[in-house]
Amino acid sequence: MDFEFDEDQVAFGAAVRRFLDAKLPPSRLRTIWDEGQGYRHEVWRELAGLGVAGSLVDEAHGGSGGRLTDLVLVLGELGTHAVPEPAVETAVVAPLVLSGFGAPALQQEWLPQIAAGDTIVAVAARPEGARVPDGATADVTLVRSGHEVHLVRPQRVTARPLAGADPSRRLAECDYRLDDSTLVTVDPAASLLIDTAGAAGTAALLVGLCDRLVDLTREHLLTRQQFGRPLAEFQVLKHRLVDVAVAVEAARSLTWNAGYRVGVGDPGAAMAARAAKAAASEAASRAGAAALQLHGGIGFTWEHDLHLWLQRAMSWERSFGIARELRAQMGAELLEAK
Amino acid sequence: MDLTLTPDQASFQDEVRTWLRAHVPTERLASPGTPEGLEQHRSWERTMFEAGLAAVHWPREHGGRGLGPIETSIFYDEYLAAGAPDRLNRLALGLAGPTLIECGDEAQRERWLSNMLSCDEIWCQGFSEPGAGSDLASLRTRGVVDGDRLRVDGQKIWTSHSQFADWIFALVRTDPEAPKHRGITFVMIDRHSPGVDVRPIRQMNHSSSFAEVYFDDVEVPLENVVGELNDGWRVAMVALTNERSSNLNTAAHFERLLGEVIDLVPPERRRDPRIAAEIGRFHEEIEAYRYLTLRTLTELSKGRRPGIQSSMGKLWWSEMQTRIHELGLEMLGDDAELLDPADAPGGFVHRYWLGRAAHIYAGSNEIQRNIIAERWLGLPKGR
Ligand SMILES: Cc1cc2nc3c(=O)[nH]c(=O)nc-3n(C[C@H](O)[C@H](O)[C@H](O)COP(=O)(O)OP(=O)(O)OC[C@H]3O[C@@H](n4cnc5c(N)ncnc54)[C@H](O)[C@@H]3O)c2cc1C
Repeated sequence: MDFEFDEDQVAFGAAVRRFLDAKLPPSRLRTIWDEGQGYRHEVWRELAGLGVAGSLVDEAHGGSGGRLTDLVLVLGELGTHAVPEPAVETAVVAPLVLSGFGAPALQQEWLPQIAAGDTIVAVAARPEGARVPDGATADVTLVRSGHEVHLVRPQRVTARPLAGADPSRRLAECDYRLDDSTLVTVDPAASLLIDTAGAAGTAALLVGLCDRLVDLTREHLLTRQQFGRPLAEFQVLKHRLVDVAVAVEAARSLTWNAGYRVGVGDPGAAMAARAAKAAASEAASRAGAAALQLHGGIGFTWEHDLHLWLQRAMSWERSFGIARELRAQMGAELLEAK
Repeated sequence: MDLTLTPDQASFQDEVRTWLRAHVPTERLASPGTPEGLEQHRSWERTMFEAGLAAVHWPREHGGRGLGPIETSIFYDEYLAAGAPDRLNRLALGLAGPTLIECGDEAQRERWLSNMLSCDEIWCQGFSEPGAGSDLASLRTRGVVDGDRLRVDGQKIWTSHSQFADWIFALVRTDPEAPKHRGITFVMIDRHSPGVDVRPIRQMNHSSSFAEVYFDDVEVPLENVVGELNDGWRVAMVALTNERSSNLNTAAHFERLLGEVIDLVPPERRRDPRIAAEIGRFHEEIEAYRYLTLRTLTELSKGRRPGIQSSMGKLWWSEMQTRIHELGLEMLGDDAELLDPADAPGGFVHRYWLGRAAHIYAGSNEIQRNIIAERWLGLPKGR
């Protein structure tokens, strides 16, 4: 048993961190927010150049044939930097579902483009009236309809852009015209994989986002002075941040496990992914609440960067299952097993 | 990253599982606080000893199996999953023994270690005093050097197992002039020596597992000092870091506890989504604890000393355990407050209160939060 990342995985994460520190600082994120639905995916192409988009695509289709474990730290960095693209949908869910269940022609058509960063994939959990990040702008959408999974091109999408709290998510309300020509598979394992891979990947994003919230708050406590001393000397504030940090470490541990189990196709992957996503959502919501409270008035301004992460957290907490539902699913399974 | 067992680990797991299945007592043992319970626990410990399983994490030359941290945790996972009894001599096996192995001399190891393993001598921990709890280094029990002995005067409190223990590993102040962390000595005191008086304390959970221990001019041979005189704080820190290796609070323990709670859910509430969500949440927290621990074990197995994770782990399991107990109590309904297991299955009220004590002992949860704030988050010490 060895529950650590290897050198290559750590180096991959560090390379992506250096890139995003330089290319996607909060100031850039703000411009993207202003561009909203009109934003173009330049950063994503460069991330693809680093190997992010093709990490889970096999080598025959232009990827590096990795497993989700190879991408867990990288997804954390994307979360820390609040990368706007539907990264989990494009770099995790689509490659896994298409490689596992797509016909060879479909794989040949889409996987190389995904790996190159030329294709952005959205995922819709249902065919009608779904609220989909990048729903109007994605190059292609994976749609789940009961046990069916479809791959739908923009011509078959009716999308109404919506204003979301985080404009860089480019939400749209979407209807999809599905028929045999869009069908990928009727194998229920494929729609389960959408949930599982989506939850595990989003958990990794959220953990990275939590790291940012903890760092920002820690910095603020150390620098802001009141009553003649740094806020960091007030025990009630220290303890509040500790509780957040511990919740983040718990979520991180679950996320590593979920990434591993999805990566090796373990039968426990679905449970592991739900646990990770529920824990990461909870950690993010607690981290966000503590961050806002401990920043005081300045954290409530548009001018301060904090809200960029708070609003993104709100969005990711909702994708691929909210904590309460995931927990109810896990509990129901345990109750049934007894 | 590889979460599969190596062939050696798998065969060890198999060996342990088979052995436990054959040997774990089927009846729950009586409390070690009663004479028959004490005998039952001793006899179980002797069975473990004879099978060479008393302290799997100790080095082979000292009677252990020399297992690494991951293999040790495999052992305890099996142990707990099998529903085996609490370890009677855990303070010896987890704290006093490893401390002797690391800081003691040859004669001391010779004198004490094998009797720890066989449970012929039971140990207790004399650290806390009425005036020295979280601020342990302010302890005042005096040790005065007199020829080849130390004369000990003072009082310890909350000393678990002292009613039936044979030895106390204690901290005493041997240099009252030195700064408070410097004048302390770590010493082994024979509980049966003249001048040692143990007075049981009745606990709020209707039982009595700790006591006050008074020392009135107790003579202790200087050869019982572990490490150097006045170097006891360092030795005590070694002891406390070793506490981890005897940790019976593994994920398997909480999984079992959650299983008991699930059994208590009445039929009409088994489809209630709120109950399901709570159970799912506890499953998630137990798994989080499992993998948080596995991170620590991985670091230990690679020879690194993990910093802060043991504080995080203690905080996590103690608070999670209380919430699981609370759900158990809720499921028991009106029976929750009944003491007799015949009236209320699982003895939850008793375990609930005992679980509350875990927020206080082994470094209170507030102290753990201080440690995490300072050493993990790098925030300044409070005033
Ligand atoms: C069931 C049980 C078994 C025990 N067994 C043993 C044993 O075998 N051997 C032994 O030596 N001891 C034992 N103890 C004692 C235990 O270690 C102490 O109770 C513990 O260290 C706390 O000390 P205290 O009781 O003096 O509380 P105090 O230190 O007085 O603390 C009271 C409260 O104040 C809080 N507090 C104190 N300092 C701070 C601070 N700096 N910041 C924030 N909050 C603070 C504490 O967290 C606690 O909530 C046992 C205790 C219990 C309950």
